Amino acid sequence: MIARAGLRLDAGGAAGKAAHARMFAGPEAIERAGSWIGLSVGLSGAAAPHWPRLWVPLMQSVPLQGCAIESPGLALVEKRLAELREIAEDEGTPYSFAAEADLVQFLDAAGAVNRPATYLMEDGSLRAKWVNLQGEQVAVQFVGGGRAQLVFFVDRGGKAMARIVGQDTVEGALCQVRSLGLLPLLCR
Amino acid sequence: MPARGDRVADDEACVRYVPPRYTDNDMIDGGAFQLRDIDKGELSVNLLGTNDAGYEAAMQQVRQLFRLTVKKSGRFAQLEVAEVRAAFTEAAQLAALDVIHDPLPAEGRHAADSSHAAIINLPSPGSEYAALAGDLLAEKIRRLHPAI
Repeated sequence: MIARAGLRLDAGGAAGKAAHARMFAGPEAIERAGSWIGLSVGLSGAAAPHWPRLWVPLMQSVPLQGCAIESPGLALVEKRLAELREIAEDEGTPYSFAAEADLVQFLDAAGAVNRPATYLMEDGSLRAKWVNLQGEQVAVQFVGGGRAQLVFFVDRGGKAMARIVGQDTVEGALCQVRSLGLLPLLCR
Repeated sequence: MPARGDRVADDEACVRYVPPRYTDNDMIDGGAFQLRDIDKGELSVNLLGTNDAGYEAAMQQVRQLFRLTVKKSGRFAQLEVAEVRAAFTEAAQLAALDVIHDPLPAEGRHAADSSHAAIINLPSPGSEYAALAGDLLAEKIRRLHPAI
């Protein structure tokens, strides 16, 4: 099942008016065929049964206008990711959409409700960071391809803070967050 | 006038320019303190002196002499030199840092900049501990100054 897609939909209509579009994240609305992904897209005024299925290449990104994408993870970071994409474009530096997809997958899988501080690294990868008042930290750098680099700070109850560095898959990173007791940084 | 390589006194403060990609609602990422290949092993900073009351005037001077293009939404992050040197005491994997003078001579349209200095002994770019080193330094930020 495809939980979400790392892409944007250009919802601007040929008529020039701002179209309202909604992309459903459920499996009934998303279908994959090879390297293409099909999405049900509803435009205002159109009855639901007639919503067209839009086929776009997987991991391709095109500008978004007026879309509401039902991914809790993406909703957390969408504005900041737009800023980072703009920075990359202004500076002519890399921006990894594969990293973006991994970041959103991580946020969704974690059920994150706290927005991470999000940064664009020199190589185009994305880094998400949560810090609490005790100085504990979850920092996950999404490098694309389902891989992540990790820097965790864990309070050991009055002893020196544990400083943990590593590399893992995106799923493995979340397992480590849970096992270290750091999930409350992401989910209150 | 200090020479290149002289150690900066512990009671000095220094600032590092943080571009917008590394500042999110004024939370600074350690990426701003990671070496890049073009840094040639030395992380550029500018010295503000030792006088709290003089930091604003020193920052104006830094802004005037700064050679890179800065963005309005960027920041200068201020650290204490003594704290930079002690930043890795909890991390046995990392060599202790040092801060040295690195005054820049006048060059083309750029005036000489005696406030320029460098943090040395940071992990190589892309090394496993570069991100940890950056985050430990980011923890030591005392204050943020507007870039412009």
